[in-house]
Amino acid sequence: MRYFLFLAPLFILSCSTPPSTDNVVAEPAPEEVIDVTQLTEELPDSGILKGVDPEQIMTDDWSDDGDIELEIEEQ
Amino acid sequence: MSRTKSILALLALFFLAACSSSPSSGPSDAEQEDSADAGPQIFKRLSIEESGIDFRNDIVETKEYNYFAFQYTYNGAGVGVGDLDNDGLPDLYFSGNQVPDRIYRNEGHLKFKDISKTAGIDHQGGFNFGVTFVDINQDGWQDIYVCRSGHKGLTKEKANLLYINNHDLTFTESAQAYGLADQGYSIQSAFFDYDHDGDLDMYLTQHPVDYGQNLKERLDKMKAPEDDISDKMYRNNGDNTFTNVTDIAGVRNYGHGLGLVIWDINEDGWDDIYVGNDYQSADYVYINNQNGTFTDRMKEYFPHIPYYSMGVDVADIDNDGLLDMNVVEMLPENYHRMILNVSDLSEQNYYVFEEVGFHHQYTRNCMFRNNGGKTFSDVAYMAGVEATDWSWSSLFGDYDNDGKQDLFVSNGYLRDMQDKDYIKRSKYIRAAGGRMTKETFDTVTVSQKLRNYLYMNQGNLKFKNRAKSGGLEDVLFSSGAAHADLDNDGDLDLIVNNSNLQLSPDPAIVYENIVNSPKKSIRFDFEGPKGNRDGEGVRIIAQNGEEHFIQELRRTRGFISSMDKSLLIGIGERGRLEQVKVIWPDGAMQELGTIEGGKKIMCKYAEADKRFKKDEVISWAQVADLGIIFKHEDKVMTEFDIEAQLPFRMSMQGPQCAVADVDKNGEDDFFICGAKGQSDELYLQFNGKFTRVDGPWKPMSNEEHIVAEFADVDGDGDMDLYIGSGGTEDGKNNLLLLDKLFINEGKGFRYAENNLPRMLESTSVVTFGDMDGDGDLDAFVGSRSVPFAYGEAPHSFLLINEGGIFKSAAADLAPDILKLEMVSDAAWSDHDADGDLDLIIVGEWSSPVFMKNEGGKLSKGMNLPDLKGLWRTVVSADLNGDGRADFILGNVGSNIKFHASVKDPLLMYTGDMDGDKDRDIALAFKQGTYYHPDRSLTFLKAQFPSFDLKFPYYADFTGKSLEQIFGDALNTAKKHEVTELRSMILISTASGYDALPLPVQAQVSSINSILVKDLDGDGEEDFILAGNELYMPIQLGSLDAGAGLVLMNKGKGVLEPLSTRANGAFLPGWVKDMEFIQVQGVLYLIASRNDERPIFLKLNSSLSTIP
Repeated sequence: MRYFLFLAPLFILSCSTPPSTDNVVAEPAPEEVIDVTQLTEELPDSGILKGVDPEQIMTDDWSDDGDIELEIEEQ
Repeated sequence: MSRTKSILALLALFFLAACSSSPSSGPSDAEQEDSADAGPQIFKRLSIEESGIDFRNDIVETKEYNYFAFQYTYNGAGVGVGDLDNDGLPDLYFSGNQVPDRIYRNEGHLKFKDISKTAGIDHQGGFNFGVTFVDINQDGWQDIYVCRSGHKGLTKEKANLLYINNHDLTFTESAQAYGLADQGYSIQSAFFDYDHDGDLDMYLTQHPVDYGQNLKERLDKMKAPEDDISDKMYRNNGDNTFTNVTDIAGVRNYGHGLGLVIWDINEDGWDDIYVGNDYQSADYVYINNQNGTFTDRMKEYFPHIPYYSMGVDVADIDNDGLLDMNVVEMLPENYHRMILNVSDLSEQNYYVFEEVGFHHQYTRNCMFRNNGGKTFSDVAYMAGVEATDWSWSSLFGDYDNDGKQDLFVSNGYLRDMQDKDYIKRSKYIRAAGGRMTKETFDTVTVSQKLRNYLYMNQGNLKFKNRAKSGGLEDVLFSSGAAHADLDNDGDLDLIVNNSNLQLSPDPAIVYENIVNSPKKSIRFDFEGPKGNRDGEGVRIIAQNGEEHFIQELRRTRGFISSMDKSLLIGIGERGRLEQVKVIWPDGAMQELGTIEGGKKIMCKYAEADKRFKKDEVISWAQVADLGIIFKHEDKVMTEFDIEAQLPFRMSMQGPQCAVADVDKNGEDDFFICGAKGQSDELYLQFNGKFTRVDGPWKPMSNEEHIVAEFADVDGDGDMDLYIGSGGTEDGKNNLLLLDKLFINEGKGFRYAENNLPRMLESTSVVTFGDMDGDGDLDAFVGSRSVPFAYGEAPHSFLLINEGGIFKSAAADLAPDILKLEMVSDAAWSDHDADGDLDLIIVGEWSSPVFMKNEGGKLSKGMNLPDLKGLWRTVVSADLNGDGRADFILGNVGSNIKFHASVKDPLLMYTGDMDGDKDRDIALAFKQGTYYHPDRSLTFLKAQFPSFDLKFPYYADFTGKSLEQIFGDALNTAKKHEVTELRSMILISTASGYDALPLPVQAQVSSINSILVKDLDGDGEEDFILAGNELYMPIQLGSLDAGAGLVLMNKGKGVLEPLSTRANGAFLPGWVKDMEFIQVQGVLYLIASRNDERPIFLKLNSSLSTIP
């Protein structure tokens, strides 16, 4: 069927292939360019619960008042 | 113990007191005084001598009843209103926490007599909270149900009480006989017919008594909530007995319930339940499954809720015929009190809570506007009601009888237990053994009475606090409250219960309504069917022209209080209500036609001779997916750890989508960008069905693709594809940020790697136009931000098309483009009608930039300096029919924490703000009288560690100016300004443009995408708007109130929002882009959303009939 022709891309470029610099006008100097394989693993990701101990998280930020006892002299 | 430990604790405190500021006595400046609080008096306080009301809810701190042993000690007590002797005058009931409850008989003319001693209500033992009036045995006389809680040592003593009316102003306590002597920790009850069997059942809110829990303990407790702390459902057996059906109904829970209101949330004709929960518990939205069970569907209906929810009430705040809701919380309005008392949930904990199943919860009030029973949008910021301090009752009423619902909020807490300086001092108490004498407690805590709030509805979703001028100038510790027409003069009087700890105690107060406008209201009383004689849940609706009125009879409202059994509808100067209908809970309806002001109407179920049928006209219908199965999956990064005070996430900018007939088969095809780690997807349409096909973008899934645009860049008659990469995930100057051009070769796409210049920027927009008039498409490519350097100016580009290859030409043809700041969108159009394409560019912290085309060169033209916005999008259209381009600009809207104006702009400083050589962001805006940092001091101390030494106590900070806080850094940092937050239209005039705000309905959230089309065939272009901004910093809160909006163009620049009921263009979530698409000759709309599936809407053919 006609639309299946699109299943076969005519040209696939690897992401890591450096693009042409023929018409570079962007300002960053070449030495400032960061390698693709760098950084991403060091950058913060989700994984919110990694390393989180639920016992160390108070559910309300002042809720540790419970360990104070009020001394009342009963009438 | 430890006298020694007590002495140690005291010594520690004295030491602290000697070297730091003492507990603050509260605001010393005039910030709390609202200079705009002016207008006619509405209420007059009646003295004890005038009213006879001398009830006082005095609290005596004991070993069992103090904050540490029982955190509900200072929560206050309730009020009940109802005619107990059937003499036509509402009587009053006050619950007392530790003091005996009292009944006052209304003797007319606002004189009351205490009949408590003879009434038979002296049942002591528990800590009494909620009061509900109900004719439980259907004998025509009001009975009273009282909820009790108490310390952990109590059992039977805290059993709830049911006072059956003996018809002679005496009562017989009968809770046990009715099966309602619940011995749990009860707060409040509500009676309603949840199973449509004709009688009134009871929902009961209760609360746990565990404090100081960590997350694990909380989650464990939530797994199997015990009977005495779980909410309950009691089914009426029809024989004056009730059965506990909590588990069958599906409402066993672990929530710190405070607010309770019953209403039909999803407009399906069955009553639902909203429970406002204190502490970390998310509120409950129990949707009635119409089979005796309920399902908590909070997340479906409410994008966020308050953190510490207190009182709740329901009313139509904008006269659109839909019930809205207000939930109060604890955020102080006064800056000093806010800094000391605001809860400081960390960003990390917030997402941990969300990950384990809690909801998005913000520490502020929420006023929820009803989106047609589908979702609710919090409009508290734009309404101006977000902060009312430690609040309890939230009570809607038309207090000036002008036809608009006003809002009363009671507040006050006997000791400021969240005060940061107290918490700091209390740590020394703990260190010294954890015991505190009463004297020390008095020394280290602040006890400050507060003024209640009286928000008068100004229309257009705006409220104005007129407590002082309106007659509620008292400062009190108020809690439960009720309103009723106590003197039958056609207006709502107010009754407030107050608590007292020590000096200058206040009694409960009756405020007489003195608006004196008997012809400006209509009173409705009800004679319901057997089983529901008072008509609980009956609804009055009316319509005067485009203006709707709706009220429901609900006794349980506000906070632990209950209202009278009549309804009073204010009509102002209208003279009458038209098209009045009475709708009973079972759907029976009576039409009353037009009713003149001042009338008293008795509505009888026996006269309801029709059935109610919802009248719906929907212009857009949601459809499943058209076969497009894509779901955008973005990751929530912890980028706020890197850039503290970053106002918006820069890592979640996609996805855009694009529509074109790429295979030239005569049918529209669809492309959508994938987030990092996810491939883009192309769907081809064939005979109305979509099929996903691969392309050369598939191996590029490691890039964050944001922008997609089809354009025939090589002039061969088919549509090529431009994809812009962006976000911050890959840092600055990363090759993954390179944009991509894909040439359509007829049989597929080819990645044209050499056809674009190397642009290592985070792309936010590409827009094509033949700028130089040479017959091919040139492009503007804009960038919104430099990764992890928000506020720095990224590079934007002008690309000139030379035979399908784009050359960067800004330096030669448009040098002003090199000076652009943070660009979010741009559009080509002929601004000056000179036959060539000009360019408008919008962005953040900047005014719209008009680039005028003169002979193929672009230069900066008109300047609109007063329109520095946080602009998201721009489209052009001829709104006024003058042949020149007008513009609609999407901004963040006015429903946001920030304030901004030309006189007092929102400020952002970027640079080293604390001398540690790191780049910082600091936001500030005018709050009250002065400019203050946007964030709490706790947050700022984490961002700027030196603040710990600079401001050891929070009270040391609140009076400081920005200059005193940041010093010379304010002069060296880059200063950014925003003067306009609203989305606007720019209408062309002979001399330039007139800037006008879009209608208020368009200001509830950010507008990210605008579609233009003549939807009703009147020759004028109409508009569909959508947006939102999610995952924002929790101290700002997400902009999630947008649900899509249609603006119908009435000509001459007049844009009218389509009503919520008729709209149907329901577009919730984080909409980034929208496109029209034709499928088999029918118009559809696809909205791409971040981290969600797209929305698919089908245009209903009835649109042209909508007025």
